This record gives sequence, C-alpha cells and structure tokens, in this order.
Amino acid sequence: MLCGALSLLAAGTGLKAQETGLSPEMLKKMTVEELLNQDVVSVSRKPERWGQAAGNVFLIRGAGAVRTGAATVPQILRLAPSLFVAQTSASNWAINARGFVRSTGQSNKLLVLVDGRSVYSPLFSNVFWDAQDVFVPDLDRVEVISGPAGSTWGANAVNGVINILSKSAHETLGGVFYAESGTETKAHFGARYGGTFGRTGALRVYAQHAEHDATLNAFGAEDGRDAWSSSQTGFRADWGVAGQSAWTFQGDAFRGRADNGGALKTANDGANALLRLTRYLTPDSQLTARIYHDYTRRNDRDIIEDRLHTTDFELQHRINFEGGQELLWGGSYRSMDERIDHTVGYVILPPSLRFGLASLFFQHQIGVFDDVVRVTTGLRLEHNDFTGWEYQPNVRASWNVNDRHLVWASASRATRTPSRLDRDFYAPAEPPYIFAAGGPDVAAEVVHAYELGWRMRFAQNFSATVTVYYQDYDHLLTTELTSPIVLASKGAGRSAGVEAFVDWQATARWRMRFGMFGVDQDTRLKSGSLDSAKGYAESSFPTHQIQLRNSFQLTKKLALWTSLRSVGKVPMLDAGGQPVPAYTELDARLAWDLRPGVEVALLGRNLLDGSHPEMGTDAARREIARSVQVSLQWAF
Amino acid sequence: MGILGTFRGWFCAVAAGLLLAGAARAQPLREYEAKAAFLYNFVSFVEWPENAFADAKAPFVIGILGNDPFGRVLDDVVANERAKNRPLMVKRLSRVDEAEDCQIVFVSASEARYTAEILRRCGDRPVLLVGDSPGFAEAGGTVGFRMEGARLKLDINVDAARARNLNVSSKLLRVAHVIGKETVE
Repeated sequence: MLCGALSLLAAGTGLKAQETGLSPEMLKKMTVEELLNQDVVSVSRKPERWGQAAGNVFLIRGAGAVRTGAATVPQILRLAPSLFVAQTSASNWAINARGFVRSTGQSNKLLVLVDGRSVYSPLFSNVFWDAQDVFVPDLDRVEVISGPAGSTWGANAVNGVINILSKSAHETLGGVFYAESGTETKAHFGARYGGTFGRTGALRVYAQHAEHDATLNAFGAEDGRDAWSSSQTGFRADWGVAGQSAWTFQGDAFRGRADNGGALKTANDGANALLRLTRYLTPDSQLTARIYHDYTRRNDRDIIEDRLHTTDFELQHRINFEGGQELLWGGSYRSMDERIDHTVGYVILPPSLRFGLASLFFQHQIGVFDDVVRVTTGLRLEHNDFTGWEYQPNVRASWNVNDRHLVWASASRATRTPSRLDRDFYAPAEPPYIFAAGGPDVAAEVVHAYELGWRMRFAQNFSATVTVYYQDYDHLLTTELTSPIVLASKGAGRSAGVEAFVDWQATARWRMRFGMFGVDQDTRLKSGSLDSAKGYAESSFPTHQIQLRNSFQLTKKLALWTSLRSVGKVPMLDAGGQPVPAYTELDARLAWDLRPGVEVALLGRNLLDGSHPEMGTDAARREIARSVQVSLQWAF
Repeated sequence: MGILGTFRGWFCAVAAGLLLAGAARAQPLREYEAKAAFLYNFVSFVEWPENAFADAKAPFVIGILGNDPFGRVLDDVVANERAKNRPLMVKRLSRVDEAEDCQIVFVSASEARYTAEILRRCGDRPVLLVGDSPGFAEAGGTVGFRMEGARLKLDINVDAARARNLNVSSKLLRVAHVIGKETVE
C-alpha cells in the first residue's frame, strides 16, 4: 500500500538513534553533579509564550468539558465563544464561525478533524455531527481556530478549523464508568479501561451508547419525530520512546440510527483506523508519518446512501534551528473511493468515483528583534480532481510588546473544494434535466482574510483577547434559475467582525469567563446571476452572540457551573421565511464529589424557557426543550 | 492522474531519504536540556506526602507555568517514565490555579513579576515550586535555578519545602545552595 513508505519507517525504527547528541535517554542518565559541573549554552529552542499562537485559537480542555456535563461534540463546542452552535433537530446542528450557514443548517466552510482524521464530507460539503461521537473523559482538548487556516490544515478550512484530540493511552490508565439519564438524553452510558503493555506501551478500550429524546415541533408539541441513538467503541495504543520513535495506533467503530418521522431512518455506520509514527532524526529534527483509513456509510431515509472509503497518508518534517527558527514541511495524499445509491428521480454521475487529493506544504517561523517579533510564513499547494491546483498561503506576525501585551496580524487565502453534490447532481434521472449541478464550471470558493489580534494579561488571574477580521469571499455557490436550473459560482461577499474573550479567576473558588462575537455579513451576486436565494444562500447566521460562564467551588466537594448565552436572531432570507427569534438561555450544573473518583451531578439545560428554536424555516423548525439530566462518573 | 502518480513516487523517495539520514552531530548541553534533566531528577530526590495526589491512580504531573522554554525536551525526558509508581507527565498551565493536580510546578521566567502572587495562591499545598528567575527561592519558592557564568546553580529553600510537607534528599541539598535552616533528622 502507498509505496511501502510506512514499512520503510517501521524498518527504520530498528536502527537505534545515534547517541552522539543529547538524547532524552542521555539526559536522564546524567547525575546532578554532572549537570552542575558542565558548561551550558543558552539557546532558545522554540519558546512557547503565553498567547504566542498568532491566531484566534480557543482551547477547550477535556477536563473542562467534563465539568460542564457536555456529552456530545456540539455540546462541547458551545464552550467556544467564537462559534455559533445551533441545534436544528435532535441529531443535527449548524456550527460555524464568522458567518455563512444555510437555513438548512449546512455550513460548508468549517473543517473538522478528529485526531488528525478529516470528518468533512466531500459529497455534502458538511460535517454530520451525529456521526462524530467522542468518549469525553478521554478527550485531551479541542482546538477551535476561527478564521482561515488552509495553509496549515488544507482545503475547506475557510472560516475555521476544529481539531478534536484525544489523550495518549498513557494518560488513561485504569477504568472509568459513567451513566447519564434525563429528559433530553434518556440514557447515555459508557466505560473505558486502560492498561500498560511491554516496557513502553499503554492501551485503552472504550465503548458507549446514547439514546437521545426527540425535539419538539414548531408549535412546541411533542411528536417524537427525531429521536436518535448512537453506539461507539474504540481503542488507542501508544508505545515507543518519545525522544526516538513514538507510535500511536487507534481506531473506532460506530453505528447511529435517527428517526425522521416516518418509517425510514437515517443510518450512520463507520469505522476507522489510524497509525502514526513520530521519529526523531536528531533532537532538533522530527519526522511524523501518519496513515489512516476511514469508512463511513450514511443512508438518509433511502433517499441517498453514500459509502465512502478514505485512505490518507501524510509525512511531515519539522526542523528547529539554533536561535528559534523552525521549518515545517511535508506532503500528503488522500484517496477517496465513493459509491452512491439513491431512489429514482435523480442521479449523481458517476455513481461510483475514485478521486484524490494531493498536497505539499511548508511553514517557516523566525524571530526577529531579539525574538520580540515572530514572523510565520506558510504555503500549501493542493491538487484536487475537480478544480486542479489550489494555493493557500498565509503570513502572520506577532509582536510581544511586553509581558502583558501581544499584538498579531495575519493575511491569508483559503479555498473550499466543490463537493460532489455541487458538481455531479442531476434531476430527473434521465435527460432532459430540470436541475443540473455545475459540473466542471463550479470553481473553488476563495476567501482572502485579514486579521488583527490583541492578547492582554493584566494580572496572573486576568486575561483577555480581542480579534477583528475582514474576510473577502469569491466564487460563492449560487443556484441559477435557468433552464435547466444549474449551480454556478456567481456569488461574492464579505464578512467583518470582532471576537472577544475574557478569563478572570476572581477568587480561588470563583472563575468567570465572558465571550462574544459580532459579525456583519454581506453577500452579492455577480452580473447575470439568477440565484434562487438572491445571494442570501448562506446568511442564516446571527449578528452577535454573548456568553457568560461562571464556575464556583462552593465547598470542597460541591461545585456549581453556570452558562448564560444570548444569541441574536437568525435570518432565513434564502427561504424567504421569518427569522429565528433571538434567545437567551441558561445552563447550570451542580456536581458533588461523593468520594475520590466518584462524582454525581445534576444538570439543567435551557432553563429559561419551556422550549425555543435555534435554526430552520417556520413550520419545519424544531424546538429545543428545557431539560434536566442526572449523571454519575466513577473512576477506578 | 499522472501528476499524482509522479507525486507519489517523489513522496516515497523523500520519505526514504529522510529516514536514512539522521546522523546526529555532537552537541553541547543546553540550558533547558539541563533544567529538564533536573526536573526529572527532583522526582526521585524529593518525597511528597500522600495527600499530594488526588487518588491512588492519579499521575505524577510536572506543570509548566507561563512561557514554555523547553520545547519538546521535557516531554521527551519524561515520556513513558514512571514516578512514585505513577505515570509521569507534563502539563502546560496558563495560570497558577490550574496547578491543583501538579506535584512539581516550573515557574517560567515570564512569570517573574507575579512571583509573590503565585506563592500566595499556592499556599502550603504540597507542590515543589521550581523558579526560573533570580531570587525565586529567597522569595519563598522551593527551588530556584540560577546561572553563574556558564554553570547552572541550584538554590533550595528548606523552610519553604518543610512548610509544604516536602522532604528534600540530603544528596540534593549537598550540591545546592541552601537557604533557610537545615535540620538534622
């Protein structure tokens, strides 16, 4: 497979790393006397400053997510102040940063990776959140990047990237069991057990299952139309010596079923396996090779069934030079094998297709003026089978004004590759077609973004970040009311906005966090366009959102967490419908540490109203009810 | 697909080349390699009370507070190591309040101006506070790194260690500059 490079890597680990440099093994063997009686040279390797990452990156730590009672990925993502998260039905969510969501909830400009594995659908240009479960106690962190990041992460990272990362198996030894029940999630339980093997290895296995209740209809009444369930199991093994060769092998399998009001369900099945090797050529030169295979099947009420096999290989080489310069370069190749089955009435041509994605990237970082200013330049060249070569450059600079202030600026270009539905969809099944997708005429959507950020820290316990941005979009997808109706790239637009976050540890027992975004989105049509949505296809995004979260350690064993969010009204301009009204909701969770390792909690979501809608056009809209959950977590 | 075929071939050549390369040059001891090795050594030269750990399964955690000067070095040194019969790991902290589960906290030079506040917030919790700025041990921290010319020196405040219920081995005290009153047990 893939040119045997991986087997070469495996063979390479047999060669013992030469011990002429100061390997971690050598450092560990040095006695305190030796350490004190030897001259040392003071060169910076790659110092990581507080807030150094020049970009709007928000980190959700796994332990923090656990304390909020978040059990699904969208619930975790609600903690990111730059993200708009709206529940469209029990199993579907609209999630994006900086504008651009369709009234159906689809957002095609956000890339999502789970431990480096892309879960963005190349058929629908969307992420199916009901197929992305994580075992929350084993979650290390979620990195939420708002703004384009195509030079680092590749195509479709137009408005942001979500990077979901699980803990190393070394950090999850022992057992965890949890169970949750309530009015929103009727049952949710799971368990993990981790142990060690060999001299350096650790392994964990987990399994979980959830039964989610239906949302309410547009009139706030129960109709049980969209209840759903999901099951997932998986493992992760980590072994090797980190300073020389470290291996990770992990995999998951899942199955989900969602009601859609009728006899037919939406079915999600999938499995994946990933192997990663990080090998140190010298202490300053690190090579990472990664390969994964991912299979997903999604059957939406038999209207469409998509089977996708993805194989992805990436090689990345990082070199740290004396004086803090860093060069990262590499390449990747992804092969996708897709088969689509569907009911009569339309066709996707060809129904079976194998397509590829190849890319080359480099990123260079250098500190100037005594490292006070750091400049990062990056470029990714990507070749896809639909639009050919695309380039995604980025240049950013950060100025560490002093211990308290850091200012950064960035300019970047990122692209969205057309999906197969954008290109290959025809209705009816035989010509003459009434509807024809754009075929080769659909261009990649392009964004040029300019960002300016300021991070400040006024005291050890008080920090704040502010980001302003201007993003200019071109080749946005339009639906042209010609005969036949075709998809084209005749839209353009811009979004400008501000994102802010304040983190204040008021006292040893009270932490307060405030986050907000404001966005002004404006789209237009190019001359001659007959777009059915009049250019408003992706305008279902609120102008603002405000979050206020508090955590209180009430007593040694009792903790209270509250989250108040206020979301502006969501326009439904493309469908010509009424906007989803603005709303304010409160979540609260009271956790009691029964004894070390055992926690019971009471969680209330959306406490301020009996029910409220978050997304969708008038009658089709679903309402999210107030809910109460109780949970137990036991670590042993 | 011709271009992709070529690409694939090129990719393999590079992968092979990189893996066969890798003869390391002899390198001097760097400041933060030495400090990482010290943090690793402290684990065995200091005794922590049982209440320093949340439970029997909790890992042994070295926290880095503020700017991380180590890069990967510290992670590599502790990788897959065990300490006091627990897995050893490194955590990056942005504020001292995140230090709850740590047994050692390395206070980076970037936090120098907050030293008093950090010490106050840590109180007498059984945490070995290791400072990377001048005067850290004198100010009430447990261990301070100090450069004397090209040599690295250790300051150890034994009063501060005792107040936090930490027992520092005499072997380590012998090679360090001791601040406070050493008692013979």
